[in-house]
Amino acid sequence: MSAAILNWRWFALWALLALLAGAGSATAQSVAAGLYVEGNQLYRDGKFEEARKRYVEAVATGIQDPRLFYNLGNASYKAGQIGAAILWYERALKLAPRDEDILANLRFLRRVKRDRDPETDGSVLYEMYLWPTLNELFAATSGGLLALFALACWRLWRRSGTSLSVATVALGAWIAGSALFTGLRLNHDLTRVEAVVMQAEGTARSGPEADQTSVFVVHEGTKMFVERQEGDWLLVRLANGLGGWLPAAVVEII
Amino acid sequence: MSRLSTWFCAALLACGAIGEADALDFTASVDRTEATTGDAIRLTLTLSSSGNMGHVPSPTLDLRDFSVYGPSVATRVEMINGRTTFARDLVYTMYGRQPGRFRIGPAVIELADTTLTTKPIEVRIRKGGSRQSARAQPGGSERVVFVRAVADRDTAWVGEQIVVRYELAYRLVPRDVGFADIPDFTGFWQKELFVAQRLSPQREIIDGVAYNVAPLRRLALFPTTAGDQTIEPLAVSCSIPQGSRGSLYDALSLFDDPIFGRGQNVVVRSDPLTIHVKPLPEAGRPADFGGAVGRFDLKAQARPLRVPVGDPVTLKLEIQGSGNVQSIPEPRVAIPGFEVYPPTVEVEEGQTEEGRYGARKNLEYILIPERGGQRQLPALSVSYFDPVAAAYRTVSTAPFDIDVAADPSLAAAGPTLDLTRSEIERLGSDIRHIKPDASRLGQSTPLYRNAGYWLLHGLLPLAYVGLVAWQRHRRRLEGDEAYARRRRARGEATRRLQAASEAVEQDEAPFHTLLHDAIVGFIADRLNRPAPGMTRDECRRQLTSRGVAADVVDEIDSLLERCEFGRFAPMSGSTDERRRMLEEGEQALERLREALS
Repeated sequence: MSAAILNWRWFALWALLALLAGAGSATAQSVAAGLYVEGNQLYRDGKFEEARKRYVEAVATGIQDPRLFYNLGNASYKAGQIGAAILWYERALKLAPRDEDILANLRFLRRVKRDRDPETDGSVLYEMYLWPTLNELFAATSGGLLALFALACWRLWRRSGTSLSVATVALGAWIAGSALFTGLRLNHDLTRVEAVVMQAEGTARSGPEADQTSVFVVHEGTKMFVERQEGDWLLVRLANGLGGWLPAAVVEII
Repeated sequence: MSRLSTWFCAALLACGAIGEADALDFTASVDRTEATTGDAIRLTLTLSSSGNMGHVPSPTLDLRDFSVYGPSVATRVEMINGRTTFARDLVYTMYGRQPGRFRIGPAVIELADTTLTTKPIEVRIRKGGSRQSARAQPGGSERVVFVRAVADRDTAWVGEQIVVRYELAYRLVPRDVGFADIPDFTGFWQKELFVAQRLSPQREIIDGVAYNVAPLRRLALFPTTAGDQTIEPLAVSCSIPQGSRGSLYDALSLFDDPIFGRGQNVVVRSDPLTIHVKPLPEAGRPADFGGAVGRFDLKAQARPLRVPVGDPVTLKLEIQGSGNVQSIPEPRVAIPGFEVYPPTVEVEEGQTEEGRYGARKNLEYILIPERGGQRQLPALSVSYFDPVAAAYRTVSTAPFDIDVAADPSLAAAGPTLDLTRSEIERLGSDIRHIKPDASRLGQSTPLYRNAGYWLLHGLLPLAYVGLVAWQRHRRRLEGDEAYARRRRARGEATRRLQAASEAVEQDEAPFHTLLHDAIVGFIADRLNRPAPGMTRDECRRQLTSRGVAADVVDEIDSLLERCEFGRFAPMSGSTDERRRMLEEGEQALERLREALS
């Protein structure tokens, strides 16, 4: 009996902790939602800089939401910060990769910003690789696993032995394939670090020193890959393969 | 020498007298007008007649400045278009004795009723090597075949058409003629007018020497910048037939067959041409001048001239002329009350009757009347520079009147309604508006960051293991009696104890029997033994043999003893006593369960 009581106590403790954590995040969410609504109103009133500040405060509460990032991008653009706008659109895009509004505004800003994007031959295969979201990939894998579980239960119930059936093999292949895809994409998404130029202009050099040869100049809003960091310098690479070292303060990681 | 004299005499003997009514022609030509003292100059005197030639007296000819060999004589009969021509060639081979300019001829033949005279020929003799070395030099073939570049003018305006033609002049039919080097005409915009597919020569005497001249290429060039522009030479490669004895002198002699002779590959180049290009004058340059130089005409046609509002009117413009018509910009057509679409442009290129480059530019505008009424298409004009008059000119069309009928359906709707069909135009673009929805803000975390998601996946195998264990248990209950009884023992005991506890309050009820059965039944079930055979002694022995602690065994034994006593002595003991026994029984069973598990 005492073990059972102990179990109940543990359960109560866990429940309490969960409740507290939930309450904490719920508080952060309600604060952020308040700031978000306030920012929206300021934006509608044309006070873009103030709206931007509200959104930034909302982001500071730690919540992540594509709508918040998108609105912050809008306010940044209207407040004259193209680099910040592109940064926040890109961050929003990571959470909602197929949102038409975000894509349209990014397209618009790519025309507005000073540097023209280097032409990249985006292959159809690579676009297909990037098309599903991570959530969809995880859901696909889980769906396969749940189906396999259900199938196993049914077979247990029917006592049909442990021999392989076509359905089992197909489900196994589905799970293996989607798990592989998911793993590759997760690795791709987590290891590919991108950054956006936040200052009006930045000079990339051949090494992480200010007196090294200038390799190229980038302007606000240009997106690039970050390969590694050394001190206050980042080794960046443009979409066309051109690489150089930029001071870390010039860019912001997406 | 002796051979030639023999030929001459034989020829004279063979010929009769010249008929009196025959047309006579007497010409002189040389194969070169410039030679060194070592080069042979071949002078040919040709007397041709439409009738048979009889005796021809020797011509008188002053050749004292030359060493002369010959003449050799050949008589030819040519049939051209049914007319027969008799010709007699006297060929002298001469060498200049000293450098200088010398005059050959005129040669004079005095016939019975007339005297024939050739034109004198100027030759220039330079100092040169010996005869033998001159013969061996392949450079001596230069004038056997050469390329001539001729421009129709050497001074031109910027943009003015210059026609350059290249001709191949030859004395022996060359073979394998091909372009070795085609100039790229830097500084000119070019249009090819003619390229020869085969040689179609015409006879021409150049500097007193008879040549076959065949056109090779003809181009129209339009200078793009002012200043002296050089047209680089055109190089032609060909193979010149050579005599079997291998020298040029032999190749030129009458008795060698060029067809069977050996070829000598040569590359001949034209002389570079220099064109002086004048800039177009600034004064009087019209605003719409685009650089066209030449002569151009402008024609215009508009159809139909009566249309309802909204129906298209086609305006066709035709700019035609000799010159760079592409340089004439499309006239800007802006007519109030009309929507004007950009024109379609077609350029047809060709040649004028004089063999110069000419072109026609057709422009087709679509005009959509937007309002009704009597409208006028204003005159349209284009400007060009006339190189002959050295002045800018502007040609214009006559204006058109177009009667636009207002659409009756629109008139009924009211005069203020202006329904013009047009594409929806994008006036400007901006970013899209913010997203106002604040519901569930920040609650969309990625699945892989969600603890519940991973928990679910952790539970899946556990659930499966549990399911398998349950399945195994179920099967064992069905197949293993001892296992089934052991698993059921506790439940059965609890059920009986429950029955006993219900009987506690009733004096005559079988409380003791129920408690006894609960304990004995539990032991029998756990040990898988038949319950009827489980006496007190049997219970003690079985429990002891299973290693149950002695105090537990004693307690069970004492309980069973009291139960047996109670069974056979009803009405004994109070309710409290029975309740205490029940509690003892529960505790004993619990301990027994722990001891036996």
